[in-house]
Amino acid sequence: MVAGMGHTRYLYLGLSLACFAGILGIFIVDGYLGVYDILYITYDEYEREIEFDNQWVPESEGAYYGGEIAFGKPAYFRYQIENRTFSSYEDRLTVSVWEGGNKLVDLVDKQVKITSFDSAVVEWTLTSDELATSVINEEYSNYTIRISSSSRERKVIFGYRVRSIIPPPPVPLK
Amino acid sequence: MRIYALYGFGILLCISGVGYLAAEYVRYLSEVGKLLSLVLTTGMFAFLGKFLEAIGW
Repeated sequence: MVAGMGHTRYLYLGLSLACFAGILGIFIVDGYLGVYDILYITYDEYEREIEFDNQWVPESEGAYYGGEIAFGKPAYFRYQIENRTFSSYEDRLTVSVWEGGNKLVDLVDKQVKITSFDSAVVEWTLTSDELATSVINEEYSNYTIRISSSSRERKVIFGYRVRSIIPPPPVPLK
Repeated sequence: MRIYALYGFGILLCISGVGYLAAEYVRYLSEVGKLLSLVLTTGMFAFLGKFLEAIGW
């Protein structure tokens, strides 16, 4: 009887530890392992980070918000791919700018190869000259940057502001 | 008494370990992963409670 109770309590302890090991396994396999990507956009001395697979980063219909860039100022992009798998990752990466379903310009077209548990960074710069034909007659326009590979496509929408907001004229003091 | 202190230390380690992993990686979990984690967490604490009950706590 005593031996049976002893077995029972160790069974409970074993099941509890098994559940704990299962939770650890889920976090490692489902949460940590995989290929993850992060985009950093720098403009106006400010860096915005977009972590694509992070469910807490807001997105709408698969598109992420990249911010608002003033016309005439360049925006620097840094795209980091982390390969947290046991095999190497190889893919063709293309980056292009779109407006209203029309492709405006290709920014990147390169083959990326990342060894197991390593990361790679692809950088590019977007200047207002590349958008000038489209934006010249508008004060504000939205553009989409599409980062495409064979396994995924990331969309980042950002606004381009042509003119600065002009402050109202000062009211003369009486 | 010393063995209970060890049990308590182990339980704290388990909880802090899961808490750390949750803080770091729960945002990357799929819906199925979240559900399974919830079920296993419930099971873990339930069995832990039964174990503590069995040893006389």
